[in-house]
Amino acid sequence: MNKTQHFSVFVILFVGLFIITQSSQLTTATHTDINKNIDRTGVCNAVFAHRLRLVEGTKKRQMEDIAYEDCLQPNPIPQTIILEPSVPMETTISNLARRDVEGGVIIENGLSPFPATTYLFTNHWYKKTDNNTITIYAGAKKTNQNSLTPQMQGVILFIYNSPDNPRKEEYLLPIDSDVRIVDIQATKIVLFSKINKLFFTFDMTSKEVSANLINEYKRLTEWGIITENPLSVDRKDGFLIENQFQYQNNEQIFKLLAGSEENQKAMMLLETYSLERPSELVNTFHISLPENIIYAGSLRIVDVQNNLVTLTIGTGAKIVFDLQTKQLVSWPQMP
Amino acid sequence: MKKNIILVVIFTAVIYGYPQITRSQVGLNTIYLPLIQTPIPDPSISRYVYSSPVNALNWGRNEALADNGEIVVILNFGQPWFQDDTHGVLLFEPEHPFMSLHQIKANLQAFFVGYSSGINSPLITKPPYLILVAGTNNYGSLGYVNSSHGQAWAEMINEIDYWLHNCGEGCTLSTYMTVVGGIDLELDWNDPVTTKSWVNGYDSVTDRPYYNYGTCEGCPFEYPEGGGCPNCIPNNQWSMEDVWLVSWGLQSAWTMPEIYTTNRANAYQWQNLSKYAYINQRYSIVYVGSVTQWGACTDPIIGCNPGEDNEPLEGWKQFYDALNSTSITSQSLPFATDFMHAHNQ
Repeated sequence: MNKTQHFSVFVILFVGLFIITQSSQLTTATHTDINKNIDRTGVCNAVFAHRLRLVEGTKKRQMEDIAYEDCLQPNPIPQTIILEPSVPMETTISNLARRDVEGGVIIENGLSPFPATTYLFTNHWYKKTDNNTITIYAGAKKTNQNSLTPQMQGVILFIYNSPDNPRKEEYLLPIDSDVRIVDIQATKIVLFSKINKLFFTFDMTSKEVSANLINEYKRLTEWGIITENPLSVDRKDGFLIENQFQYQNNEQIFKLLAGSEENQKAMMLLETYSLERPSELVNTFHISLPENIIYAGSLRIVDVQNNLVTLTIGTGAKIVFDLQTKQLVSWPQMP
Repeated sequence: MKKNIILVVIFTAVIYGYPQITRSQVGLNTIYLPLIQTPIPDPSISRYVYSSPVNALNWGRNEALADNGEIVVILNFGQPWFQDDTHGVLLFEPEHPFMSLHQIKANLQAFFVGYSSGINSPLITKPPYLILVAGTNNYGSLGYVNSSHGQAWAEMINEIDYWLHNCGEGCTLSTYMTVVGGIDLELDWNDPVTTKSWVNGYDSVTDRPYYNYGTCEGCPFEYPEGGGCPNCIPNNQWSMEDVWLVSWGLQSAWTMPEIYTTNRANAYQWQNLSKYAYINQRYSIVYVGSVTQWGACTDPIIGCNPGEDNEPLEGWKQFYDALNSTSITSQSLPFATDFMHAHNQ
């Protein structure tokens, strides 16, 4: 072989080594350097040094002493490691309350990857297209924290997760409370501040916000009308109504009201009105709720499909109510 | 000459194939060396876990190959949840998929196997030791942050602890590894009654510690030079006693708090809690280390606000200095870790 060939072999060997080091998944790893002359006692002394500051005889100290002794055991660096039979790294769709809107999904949960020291979110909408995901979180931004005058301001946060131009955009709203995404219509996001009883519209294209003069917001479904913050029934009979779903048949008008009592107990009512005299209440049906959700906050209607009404409570738990049987079909299970 | 240059380039490429070299580009290890008289930890990478791609085996291996010596790594899994008769969490991505404890356990085991494999590398120069924190948080109403979830989490920790010592026929894992529970305990996310339910549940089942890697929102603090907010009170109905209990008072409680703020407020809030513990409970708190979010701050779709972007060793130094600003809270601070988001790798 001439020099060029030698060099080519050399390059191939290096590239091969490089690929191997990158691609190995090490389900079985072979020992290469078992005794590194590591001072095992020194390592354990360093890691568990703080145990000496704990009072002897306390349970906390005992626990740390056990961990320290464990550290001193043999097999600091084993020769062979075998991964136990592989377990599928799977997730499943969570049973959170959600609603399909404008090709995306509103999730009624405020969990986010952002620190709670900065944001408190109420819900979000996301839409996936090819490799891109846009997520819009709605809630409040905390300012002036760690002072005697901490403040909150309504906020929506746009996350563009795309290979080409990943970015985050934040828009503050002119309100000192959190907001929630109520609806999305084309490029308009409808937001609601529960505390201030105000609706806002945010245009995703112009990135401009406008306060709506409306005091209630209606959205049509195939099966009836959902009204957010319905003025006509607000605080009715001591109830705080989040929203209502109104539908009718040939004889009667029905209003399903969701919210809470003034003592914070969740509640749901189904009122029946005569079609001939719509203002005349025929009867009221109190829907009994399972014990574990009564004190979990206020109920809210999320969506209606056929006879099934999806509601949420707390941080996104899903409850399904059947309008025909007037029974809950599913609700959060407790262990 | 030209060949030599090519060889150097190739060799560099091979070396840079090892993640620990890439990691060392953070280059923070030397900043404070001349300034303080305590061992400065090499910060590890902790992760917010997303469902795809979950690559815990490589994460563990890379963490070992980073050759950071003794480290604490937090895998932050998400919100406590229960469905299909199974405890688990909701992960952080927008869909909030559900991951059961069984799946979480498998990920943690994979991380350990990866780490145990990695420390076999001849490139390892520092004595390794891994404390892996299996973390959830206290977000959410409806009772999923409850005693039952805390107990189930602790049982998972017990099972992994057993597995570390008995991982099967022909299997031997390093004893330079241990598992602890963890909770991102944010005062604004839940009230003290609910949160204490979870930690009490955990504490009742296991002798393995849990690390609180959360915040102390609204907690009072005072700078040595004056200023701060000495009259602040913890947010959301929490008292200092509550925060002390979940952070140190329970036998399994340890804390490695978030030191995010560049103005040292976080550092002095936790130092002040230790002072509170000394005055009211006879003994100050012994903190494990510091947590920062620099990796998240540099992520284009996560980012962070100005003033909340301490680099790992900045956060560590702030906290170390705060703790050692008075004799009653003085301590060494052996660990530092930094959060990143595992959504794109």
